[in-house]
Amino acid sequence: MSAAAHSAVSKSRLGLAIGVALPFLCAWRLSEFGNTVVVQMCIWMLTAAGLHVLVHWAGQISLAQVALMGVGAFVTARANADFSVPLPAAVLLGVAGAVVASLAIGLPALRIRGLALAIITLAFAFAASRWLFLQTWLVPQVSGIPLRDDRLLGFDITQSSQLVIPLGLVCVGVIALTHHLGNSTLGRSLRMVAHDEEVAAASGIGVPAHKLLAFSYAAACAGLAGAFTVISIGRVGPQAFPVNKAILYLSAVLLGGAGPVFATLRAAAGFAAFPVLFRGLGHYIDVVGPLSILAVVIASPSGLNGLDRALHERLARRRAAAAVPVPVSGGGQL
Amino acid sequence: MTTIISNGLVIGAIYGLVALGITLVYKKSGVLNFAHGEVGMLGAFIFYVLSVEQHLPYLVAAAAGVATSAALGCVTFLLLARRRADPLNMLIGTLAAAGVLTFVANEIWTSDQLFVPPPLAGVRVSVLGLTFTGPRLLVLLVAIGLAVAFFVLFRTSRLALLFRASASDPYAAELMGVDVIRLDVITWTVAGALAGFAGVLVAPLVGFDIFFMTLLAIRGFAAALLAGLTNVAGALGAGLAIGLAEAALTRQTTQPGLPEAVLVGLIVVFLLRPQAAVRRTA
Repeated sequence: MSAAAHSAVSKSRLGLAIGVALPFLCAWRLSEFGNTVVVQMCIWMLTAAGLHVLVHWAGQISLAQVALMGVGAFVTARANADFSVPLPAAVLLGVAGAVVASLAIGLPALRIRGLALAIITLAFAFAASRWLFLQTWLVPQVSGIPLRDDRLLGFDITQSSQLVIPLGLVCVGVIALTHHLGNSTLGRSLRMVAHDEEVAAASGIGVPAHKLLAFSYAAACAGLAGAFTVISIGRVGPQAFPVNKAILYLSAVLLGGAGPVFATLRAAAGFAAFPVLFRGLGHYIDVVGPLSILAVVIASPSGLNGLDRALHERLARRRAAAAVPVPVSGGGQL
Repeated sequence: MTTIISNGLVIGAIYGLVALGITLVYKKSGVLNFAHGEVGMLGAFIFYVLSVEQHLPYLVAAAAGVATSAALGCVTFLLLARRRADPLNMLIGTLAAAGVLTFVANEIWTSDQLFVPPPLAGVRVSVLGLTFTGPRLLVLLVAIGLAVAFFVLFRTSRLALLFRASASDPYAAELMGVDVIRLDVITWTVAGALAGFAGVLVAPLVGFDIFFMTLLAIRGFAAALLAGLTNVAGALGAGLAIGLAEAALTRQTTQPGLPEAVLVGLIVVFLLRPQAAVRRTA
């Protein structure tokens, strides 16, 4: 293994260790309010991680993520409340439900892409919030489905300071898996599909399978986020997953920009935390998001990843300039 | 049955107008303008203020509403013009613009339902066995008039020729001296005006709020997609078809949101066909 590769592996391991320690640190040091904010950030990051894979690596624009979150949430809640399925198994069922629902969107995606797919997925999100989530076979009570259990793997889910531990660990696991996926052969194949489907097919890459895989991965992340949404609030109703939230999730991913997933996670965490931390702005908080998106679109179209790259290049240039020896005297100019 | 057809034609004509604006922008700039509904919504509110609060004549208020929407369409493009080479960034920019416009409308008018007295109230007209009330007939006639005027201009004017040339190959058109950006500005302005027309026409038919055009825009997007996103005449036809289908479904069922679900099914069926409409061009 080369020195650079060895250094990268060491950095990844250090990052993972810090990530695993963070939820325990939050539970130990932060207040209940602070942990509630962290819980919201984790749910946003779970959703955004899957969407990043779909949008930036597989080249598919989806506005259905919030609908898939809803499916995950309702399946989890129904399984636990009405069929007495233990909460960990109910979460897995919620994830499975979201993946199955994603195939309904993934199939059209085999034929279309880009902006046309954005409309299809928006229509799916719209139909889910206006019809699917109002069906009594999925959501029997308009007031919402309350969970039966109040503990997950021994942690009291009614307290954010305890919920943050299992949720944080799941979140770190998903982030690590997504990061690993990006650097793997599969991740490179996905990016090839996004770049040029015909060249990818000619290279022996199964384009439909890769697209469906990206949809399924994003749906699994959304289902997980939906399941933890219902766990964090104890009950879930039809109004919990409005269409406009789908736009915010996509905005966070586009703000992150193409490249490593971490910029998207930063954007998602910011979207989750900002309204809570800056409550003093009152209702003006609603316009800060759109204005900041406009600012980034106009100023830095490649998103936070683009800003990072520009910053690194500037620092590298500065270092290089500082490293050039300055002639003491007689350094005549050409 | 005749009620279903007359209702479907009226609402379908509105969907068609919305789809026309969306298709125009997509055909010229390659962008899905998600602020299209909000642009029309603000025009409708200006129409409300001038007509109901300032008691200006109906036509003057309507013209001001349409002009406001046209100006907002133009401003949306100018704001994002630097990113016109990147449709994805333009798309997210229009989403953000929609958020800003909704916030502004909410600040001024809140989310309460407002009402505009319909013009030609009390009039009932029968055409080919279909009965229309005055306000609904006005909507249908204006929408058809706009569509016909648009298609005549689109086929015969020099501006339309330049539009088609620059939509087909912007680089070549620019080399031949066509001011592509000016054409973009005109296209977004005209699309904004079409959204304004839709808003001003619908407002007297229903109690409207800051979200009423969002629901229309969703149907408009569906119609534009069914027509292949670049087929201007098809967009209008698809809008009419969706309006008729929705009127029939609304009559048949009391299930909330079922028309939307069927709409999605319709789109999926179209897309799963090998010769899917989306691949066609005008």
